[in-house]
Amino acid sequence: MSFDDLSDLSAWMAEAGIDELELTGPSFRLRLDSGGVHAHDDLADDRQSDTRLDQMLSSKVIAASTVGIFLHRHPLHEAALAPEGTQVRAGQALGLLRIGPLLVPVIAPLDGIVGALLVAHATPVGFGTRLVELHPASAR
Amino acid sequence: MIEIIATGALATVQDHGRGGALKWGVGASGALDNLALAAGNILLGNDEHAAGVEIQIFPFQVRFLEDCAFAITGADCGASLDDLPLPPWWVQTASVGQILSLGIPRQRIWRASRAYLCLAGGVDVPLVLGSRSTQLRGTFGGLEGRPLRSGDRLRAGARANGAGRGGFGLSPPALDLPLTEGGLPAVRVLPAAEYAQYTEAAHQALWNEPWRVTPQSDRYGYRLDGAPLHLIAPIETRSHGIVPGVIQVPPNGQPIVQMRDAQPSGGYPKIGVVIEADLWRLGQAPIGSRIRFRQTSWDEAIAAGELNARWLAEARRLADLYRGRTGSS
Repeated sequence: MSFDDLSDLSAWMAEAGIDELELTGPSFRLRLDSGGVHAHDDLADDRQSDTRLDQMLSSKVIAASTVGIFLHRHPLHEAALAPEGTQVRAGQALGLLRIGPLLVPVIAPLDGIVGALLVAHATPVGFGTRLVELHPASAR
Repeated sequence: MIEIIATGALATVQDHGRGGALKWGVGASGALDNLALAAGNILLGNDEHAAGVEIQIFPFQVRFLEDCAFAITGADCGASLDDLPLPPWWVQTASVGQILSLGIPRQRIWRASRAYLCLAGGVDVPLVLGSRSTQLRGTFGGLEGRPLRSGDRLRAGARANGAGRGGFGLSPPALDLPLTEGGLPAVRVLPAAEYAQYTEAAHQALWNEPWRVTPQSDRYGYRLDGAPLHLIAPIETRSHGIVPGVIQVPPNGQPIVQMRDAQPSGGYPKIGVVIEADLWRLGQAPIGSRIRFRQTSWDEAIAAGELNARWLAEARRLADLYRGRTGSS
């Protein structure tokens, strides 16, 4: 991978509105975020900032716990389970992940207000895909 | 253990039916939507043939007398556990004292009329002639051979086996295995013994006209309303064995589809038979709704049954995997 590739990736991210992108291989990790571009071949020196980032993200963004198709609403319903602005309680379903006939809830880990739904209804998503922003009640 | 605290008429305990009992003159019984009952059992990790409660008049409420995992399937009744709304086709764990409420079915995306409540380990009532289904005509099976009423208590076959946090669900087969004809829900039909003795107009009407489910429709049979079906010449038939799905035509020309509680014999001529794999579709058709018949073949009827079985097997595989991963419900 060359620096030209990185520039391209960075441009694509900006175009798609993606804040960060991380690639991990057997001997490298590459992480791009909207604040700049940096590359590492050593995992150790980045762990501290990862932890801070994870803490920040875990309180605000709910990620897919499995591969599936992200649904804003139940297949039998016309209304979304938790549209933006909905006040939700910990344990409440914010959306569903569909795997074949199985429907797995995307659960609010804490009380809060639903922010943006980051993935469109009925979009296939991978493990860890960021799905829903949640503004914790305690942060308000 | 659950206690019924509010029920309309005709909620009954049903399983997959009393197969093989026709030889004793005993009807099949069993859930009208056998796929919904099987799915509820799959969500709980039960045997697919375990008994559940079939509910057809709403509202319906039960109180949990002990912690118990349960599943609701069938018509979307806006279920709630105390004040927590539950998605349709969902498994959840209730705590002692909690109340499960089912309201009038919402029919915007899927017009369905019957809901099923399954309990961990199945509803524990005695086996009679190989089935736990209520046989209303014979007043045996189920709970004392009768519909449920307020104050009745039903025991679950197993204790809650885990504290499922948010539960999980299945997408209804009505959406995964859709079947429509001219924009109406359809069921596949095989021509039956007397089919050839009906007029060409009757054949055309059978396959091409909509049929309305009249208020004289229940677990015994669905009386349909549509273009009258006439024989070429009057025929007389002796009473003979019939099975659920048989479409009889009395002299008024308005067909009756025999359902799960049908008597085991009848004498009206038979123009067709709804295939076993599609009886659940008819079992969910609400009174006043219209349906269509689609002509099918033996091979297609067998393939339809296999498709249902594959849907259930895939649901079982994924539900077992998910339950194993999360220790849920």
